[in-house]
Amino acid sequence: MSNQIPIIYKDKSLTPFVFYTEFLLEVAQFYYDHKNKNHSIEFKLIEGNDFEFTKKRYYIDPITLPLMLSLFQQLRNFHKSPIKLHLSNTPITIDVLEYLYRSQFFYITGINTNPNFPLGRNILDFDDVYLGGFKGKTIRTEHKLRCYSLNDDNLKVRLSNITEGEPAQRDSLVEFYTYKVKEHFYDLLFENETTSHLTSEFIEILAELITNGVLHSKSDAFVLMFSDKFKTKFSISDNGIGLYESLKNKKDTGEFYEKFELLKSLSNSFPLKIDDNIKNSVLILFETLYYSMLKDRQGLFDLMCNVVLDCSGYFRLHTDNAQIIVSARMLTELQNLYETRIQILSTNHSLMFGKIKSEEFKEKMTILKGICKKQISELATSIFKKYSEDTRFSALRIYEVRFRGVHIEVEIPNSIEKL
Amino acid sequence: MIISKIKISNFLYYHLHAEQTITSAFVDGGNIGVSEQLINETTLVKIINDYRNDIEKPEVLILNFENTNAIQNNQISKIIELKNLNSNLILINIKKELIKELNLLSLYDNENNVTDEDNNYLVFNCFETGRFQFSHSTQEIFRTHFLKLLKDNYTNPLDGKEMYHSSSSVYLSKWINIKKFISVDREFFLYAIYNLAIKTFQKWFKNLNLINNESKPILVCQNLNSSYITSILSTLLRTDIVILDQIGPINKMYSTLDSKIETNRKYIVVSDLVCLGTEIKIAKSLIEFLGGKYLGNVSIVRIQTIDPIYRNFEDAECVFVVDNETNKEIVYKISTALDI
Repeated sequence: MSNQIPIIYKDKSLTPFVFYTEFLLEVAQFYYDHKNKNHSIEFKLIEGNDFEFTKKRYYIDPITLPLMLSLFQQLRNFHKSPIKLHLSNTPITIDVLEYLYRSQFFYITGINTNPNFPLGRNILDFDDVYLGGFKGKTIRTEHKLRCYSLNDDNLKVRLSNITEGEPAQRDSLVEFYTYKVKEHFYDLLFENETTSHLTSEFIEILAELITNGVLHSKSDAFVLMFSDKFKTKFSISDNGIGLYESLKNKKDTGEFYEKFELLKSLSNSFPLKIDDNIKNSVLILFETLYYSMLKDRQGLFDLMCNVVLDCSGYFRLHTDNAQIIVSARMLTELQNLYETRIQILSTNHSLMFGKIKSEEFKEKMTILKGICKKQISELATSIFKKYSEDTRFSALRIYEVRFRGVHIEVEIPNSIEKL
Repeated sequence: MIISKIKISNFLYYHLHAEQTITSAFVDGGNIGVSEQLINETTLVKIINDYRNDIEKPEVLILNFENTNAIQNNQISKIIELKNLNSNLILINIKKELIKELNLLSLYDNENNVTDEDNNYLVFNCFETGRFQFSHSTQEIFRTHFLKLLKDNYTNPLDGKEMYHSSSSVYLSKWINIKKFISVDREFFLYAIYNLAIKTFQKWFKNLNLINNESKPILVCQNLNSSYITSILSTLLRTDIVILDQIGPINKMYSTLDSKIETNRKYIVVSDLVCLGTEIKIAKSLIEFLGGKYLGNVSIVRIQTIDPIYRNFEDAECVFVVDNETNKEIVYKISTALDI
């Protein structure tokens, strides 16, 4: 078997779904086949060879790019050298190649040091003689791939100057990224009339997601924002330690949350027969949302509600083997959860404003925690039940191949009717 | 640097959007000027620090949220900090969504809160009962303070000698010293420019495609004070400037002038003070002669020498008008040799 894995197949768009279900499988198969041999993996841009001038078309969904980059970076770190990518520049591939070129894919993955373009991360090894002879299509600047990292912009120093703990560091980073987001995505955010009233929402969501990506995962985060007539999509991907480790490393989780308590209780009644590791990656999704709900600060859960309830969008969260798709389909459950969440926040605020005493606060919080745990357990159970009935229409997706890191896709329709 | 701090008797005002705009325009890189709508942590921290360092503590602390529609997540702690510093904390001109986001309604549903027709809060009291009597209009607050400063510090009487105004052939009784205003009350003057930027934006930029720089009007400045104002204004509006030097009292024109004005681009003339409008008229003629489109003029102060019944000021925008009413305090007089 050849050790070159094609990335794009003819007449088949490379979407995140194809990426998770097929592409990752092939990569995994490669390592399975070459277990004992010292083969290093190589990729080629398209299936087939350069001499097939048939009517083939190659497509790539832009929001798959952050996932690709994240995967390549993991492989690169594993092999400790850049991964070989074979390019192809023929009349049938030139469009996709040009798109990749203009999205700055090759600057980020290569060894670019020119400060006018993103710094090269030396992830891929490709021959840049292929990059030329383009048709000169212009890509909108804001559709470019971005890479954010704590190693850039002197951020480590900025963070080390903040001694008040992680929340303060987070606030500072969120602020930093709100400016970055405005700078990088200005045109996209302000161009569209139907989304202009959502500009602040988009900025907040993006800045929060990027901060989550770089701060918790301790790795780089790859970001792409894409917008067409109907919707705006963000895709953010990191290849860091993932939700489980990140939660495990947390020092201060508040007095009401006990680490992995929901995971343990759900684990006993888990109905699907799957491997323990996969099961954990499913359960950690719910655990993370549960933790985020109990916190006194706004976080992932609020962000998700913001996307789904305020913007009628989709929120897809993937880690390891599992992905949860939160959308208006689980509206009632989500609204109930959101109400509980509001009560938790306002109870916390009442304490901070000195309106209630700490005994009363504890009493209230214990009750709310019970409600919250019950609601999330119910949601999880109903999702598991639906999954076992019909996997296709389930809010949960389970993939055979483990893909490290946290990967979030957000999709927001441009014409929003408030729910 | 805090620009919007205004003290009127027992009330201390801060305007968050003004502070945020300045922070993003001059401190951080990604400047989007007055189209900024989101309040960041730095802005709130700046206000807290400023308030802490202020020796005189006012009875009431008022935060003006005009022109904002969002606040960075988890910043309720900063509001709480301010509330702890002054228990009479009032938020004005705040959108209902923000009150919801901050979860304040369940804490302080004061019956004296004032809402407008869209249920946004003109006044939101961060305490349970009681009320204070004050103005919540951003314009009114600004004008009250501006008038006070102008009257007390920046109008110099010319000791009975009438001053001859070189470009308009009239005598003036008083000299409004904008140059001194700029250098002494630097922060507040920036706030005045910010207010001018908001008005200019509302009038000429609001309906434009903000990404297309070609469609934006260009600002024209014509003397030293005006170029100071224009340079800041152009940052806040994200637009270009062109300098027509010294059209003012001393007429002097450069031979390269025609290369500065582009045909069919739109122009707005910026001045510090418009008295009879002679300089504006010169600039307007020049722009139109060279093929540009003249949209109007903006200034910090306008002396309204003609009643609006006779001349609508549709092409003019300013942040402070010296009219019949305000002139009772300033006592500014224009006369000719026929009067003397």
